[in-house]
Amino acid sequence: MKLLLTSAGIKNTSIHDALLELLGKPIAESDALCISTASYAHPMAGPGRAWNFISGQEPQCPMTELGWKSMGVLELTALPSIDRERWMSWVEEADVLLVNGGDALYLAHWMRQSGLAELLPSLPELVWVGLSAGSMVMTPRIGEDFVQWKAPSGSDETLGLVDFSICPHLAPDGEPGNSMAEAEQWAAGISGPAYAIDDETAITVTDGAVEVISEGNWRLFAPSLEAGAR
Amino acid sequence: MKLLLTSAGIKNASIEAALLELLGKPIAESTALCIPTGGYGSSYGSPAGAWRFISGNSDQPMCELGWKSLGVLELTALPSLDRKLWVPWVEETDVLLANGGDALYLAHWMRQSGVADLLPSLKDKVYVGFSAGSMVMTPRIGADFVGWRSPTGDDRTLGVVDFSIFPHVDHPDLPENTMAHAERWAAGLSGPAYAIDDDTAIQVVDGNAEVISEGHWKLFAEAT
Repeated sequence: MKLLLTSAGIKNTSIHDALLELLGKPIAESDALCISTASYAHPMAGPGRAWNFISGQEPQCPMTELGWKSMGVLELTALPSIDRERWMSWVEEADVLLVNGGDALYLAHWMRQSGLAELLPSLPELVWVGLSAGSMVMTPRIGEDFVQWKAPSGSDETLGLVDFSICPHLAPDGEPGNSMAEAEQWAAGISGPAYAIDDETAITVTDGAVEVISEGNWRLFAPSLEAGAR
Repeated sequence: MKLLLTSAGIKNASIEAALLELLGKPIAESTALCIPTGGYGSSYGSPAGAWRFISGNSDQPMCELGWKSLGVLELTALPSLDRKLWVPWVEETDVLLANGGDALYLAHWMRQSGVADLLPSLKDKVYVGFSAGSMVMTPRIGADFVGWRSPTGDDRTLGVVDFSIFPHVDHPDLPENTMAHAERWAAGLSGPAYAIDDDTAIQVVDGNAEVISEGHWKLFAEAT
């Protein structure tokens, strides 16, 4: 699987270009499934945000409105009660999964419960485009600051398909989002490497190679490097 | 709760007029939650069908009518959410729009989610169903419509109304859905049953059922 982990969707030309490269074909020739599951569990999101996301009415975080060849809804909470062969073929036939934000732990829970987390490693060509929690779900941990919905395990662990954590929505002091000082504090509580990215930034991961795509602001907190520099 | 049970959504001016009367205000001033869940349970269902329903790109006009606001109420998600989070969503909305698909799957998740228990307490709520979204309110769907197997193994739905519904009668794309077939289906049910085409709906207010139609329909009354 190839990952495009964004803070707020396909916000600028650089992120758009990165998406095209991962797809290897135009958006108008790519079949997409969208996953809105994370949005239900977050008090700031809820049913209206799910509708905006699915129907492509979310200009703040463009994802489903890009002009895909086809669009479908993959509802993770429904998958355990429908035939596995049916929904696996939906995923296998898709070029890209577009994953809404909301609550990362709730999303991780349903990624595991549904069986989708297990299936993904066997699909090398599939592109995963996450926004906010839809990106954080791929990391090993989200950090205490982002814990909202309580997982049965009680921990802040997500899927760990990449080895770094993400603080999305990095914003200048006084603006809505997470300040650099907050991000720094957050990163200090995480044992592994961690990126703080603003809404104009995304991280691609292809065959384990990590690349930051940005027209904005970001920072890598790498514990070992920082310790060495002191 | 006030029900508008359609075969294929708000297909004509008569059904739309009935909807407006149930709402008591314009669509543009009414808030709506759509329930796509039924679509996932049907072997004919697809992710694209759920997307068309939610985004208002279907042939069964529901979400595309111009609501003041729209949200998604995903029944399969509710058991893993705090009730205090989602109950207000349902209480605050003016109307629920239920997708078609598999009626038993929808009934299962209406019960599991707790929405079925909540509905009777919501007097002014309007529920608009199409196809399986309408059949879910009936006592039974009949063996012919059983697709997804419920844990109970039977054909029972919620029984909010006392009649069964055979939707899409005489639909050109569904050659099996003839009135003769509907008659045989009705004979296998113990209660009253309606066969309705896509230009017909049944509204139920305070227990009174009224047929709204620009097409054709038939009531198979219980044998006495």
